[in-house]
This record gives sequence, structure tokens and C-alpha cells, in this order.
Amino acid sequence: MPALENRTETESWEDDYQTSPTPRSDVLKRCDPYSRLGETEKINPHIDYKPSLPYRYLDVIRKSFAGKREPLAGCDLAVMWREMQSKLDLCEQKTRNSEVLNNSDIPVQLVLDFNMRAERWRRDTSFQSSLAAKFMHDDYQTIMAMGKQVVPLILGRLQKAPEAWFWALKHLAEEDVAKDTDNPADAAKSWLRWGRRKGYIK
Amino acid sequence: METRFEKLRPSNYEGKSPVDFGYNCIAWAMGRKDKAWWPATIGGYRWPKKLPRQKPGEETLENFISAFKRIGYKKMLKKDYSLEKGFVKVAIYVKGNQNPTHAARQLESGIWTSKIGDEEDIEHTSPVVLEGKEYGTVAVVMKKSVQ
Repeated sequence: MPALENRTETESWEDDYQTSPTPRSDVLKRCDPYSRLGETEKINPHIDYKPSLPYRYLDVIRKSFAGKREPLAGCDLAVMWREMQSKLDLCEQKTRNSEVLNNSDIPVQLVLDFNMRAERWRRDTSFQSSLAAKFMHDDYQTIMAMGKQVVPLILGRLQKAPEAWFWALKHLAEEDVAKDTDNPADAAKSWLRWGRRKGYIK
Repeated sequence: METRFEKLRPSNYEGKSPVDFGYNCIAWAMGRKDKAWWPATIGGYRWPKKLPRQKPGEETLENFISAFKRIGYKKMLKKDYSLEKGFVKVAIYVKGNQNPTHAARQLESGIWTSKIGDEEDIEHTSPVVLEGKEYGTVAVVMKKSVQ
């Protein structure tokens, strides 16, 4: 096996971990209890895609834990990494295929950054009802600071689930088109109608 | 969930519903699941008309207590989580600068029920098991007669 620093992007990092025991499913859940990626939402193996994370990041983590092959606090590092990589790949794949990316006005890097931050925000705050916890989260604030160009991306997420993007939308759109609603589902519908009318989404 | 709520154990809670964005913990504590109750200054959230809407981070415990008073709850002097026949109780959690974060409701069995953010409803043995870094601590227990 070549030394880490001599590897190329095409080599599979999983080679090192082929002998790692497969953890029980309940251990996996403990490792990542916030995932909404159900069994039916795995990456399509027939779609050609490249890993979305630079190889060097894996090496940094791997070197940090060199020699520590035992499960870390009940979690297997290799499994955690594989799960994280899968989700990021899936996220990138979905983004690449989504209609919002067809809008050439949105830089791909911005889309990827948005998706990463939005997903982390959801993971960190999905246990909260407090709007302060949701809206004051670093990633939520950063997304708001990206400006109006992320409105189509936010609406794209709203099409999948009525997440609490209403504060960001109100400030980016400079109006509250959902002000007469009293539940997230109706608010999301109001914003999606607005987005279609404005041409942000189809 | 146990990684977020350090006092939760498989033995002291149980999931009871699928994920549902349509209502939140305050609505569930009030016995409703068709709205999301929060004193928000934006659309998407319901709050009693005569009570103030507050910006994120500026919500007050008094505002939440007033909302529960409007549906018949009275503030208890002590945080008593025991089951009292003929009464239903709610516990309101606060964190940081006494900002409300969560509410749980006691069932007739004495078990407590909570809607966990955008996630599912759970039943838990005591309000204490949800105390910690996510929700802070229980500040107030309120009760109302169900007879």
C-alpha cells in the first residue's frame, strides 16, 4: 500500500478499513442520530461522481488517529467518515442534478457552501423549537449574509421540507409574504408561491 | 437523541411519533398539533393576539407563562413533577438569559410528553431528563384542573 502522501485522488481510502468490523446498526445511529438519509436515499451507484472532499482531509484525520483503530467513544472512525463522505457526495449529486443549478447565475462553489451550511444548521437545530437557537446559528447567519443570490437555494430546500427559513427569507426578500400564516407548512407554501411568481423556482 | 440530551437513556424515554414540521413543543404542550406556537415576529407561528410578539432571543418567560394562563394553567410555587389527580401539568424550560426553549406536558399516567423541535414526540419519565445544554433547565411548572 503506498504511503499516504504518495496517494492519488483515485485511490480508495476505504482500502485501509476493509478489515474493520462492521458496527451494529444501533451503534451507527448513535454516531449520527440526526441523519434523515433513509435507506431509500442512498447514492445511486450508477451515477458517476467523484468524492466531494479533497483527499487530504481524510489524511489529516487519519494521521490524527494513527494507530487508534479501536472504536472512538462508541463510534468507529472509519464508519463515521464513510457516512459523512456519503452524505456530502449525495448532497453534491443532488445539487448537481437540481434545477436551481441550471441557473448559471449561481456559482457552483456558493451552492456547495450553502448546502454544507444548511445541512449542518439542520443537524444542529432540528431538536430546537426556539427560534433564537435556529436563527442565530452561525451557519444560518452566514447564509443570510450571502444575500439574495441564495433565495433560489433556500426555496429549493423549502420544496423538500418546511424548515424554518422564514426569517432569512423575510430579510432577503424585504417582505414577509407568510405573515398571515400560523404554521410552518402554510408559511412554506406562501413562500414557494412567491418564489414561483418571482421566477426564483419553477 | 441521547447525544444531544445528556440525561436521556433508552430506559427513560421512548419515541412516539414520526417527524412532523407542522407543530412545535409549545403547541404540543398546549395539547394541539395543528399549529406552531411561538411569539415570533414573522409569519408561520401562532401566538395569542393580546400577547406581545418578540424578536428571536428576546422572548420572555413571562410571555410564555401568560400564554399558558390563557388556556387555564396556573403557575405553581414549586417545581413539583408529581402526578396530581385531576390536574395536568406543563414544565417550561429556559436557557441563557431566561429565554424559553421548550415545554413538556404531563400525561394522565404521570409520564411526560414532549415534541422535540422539528423531530418526533417522545414520552419521558420526568422533565429533568431533557435538561441540559439544549433546553437549559425547567424554570416553571404550571397546572390546570381537568375536571
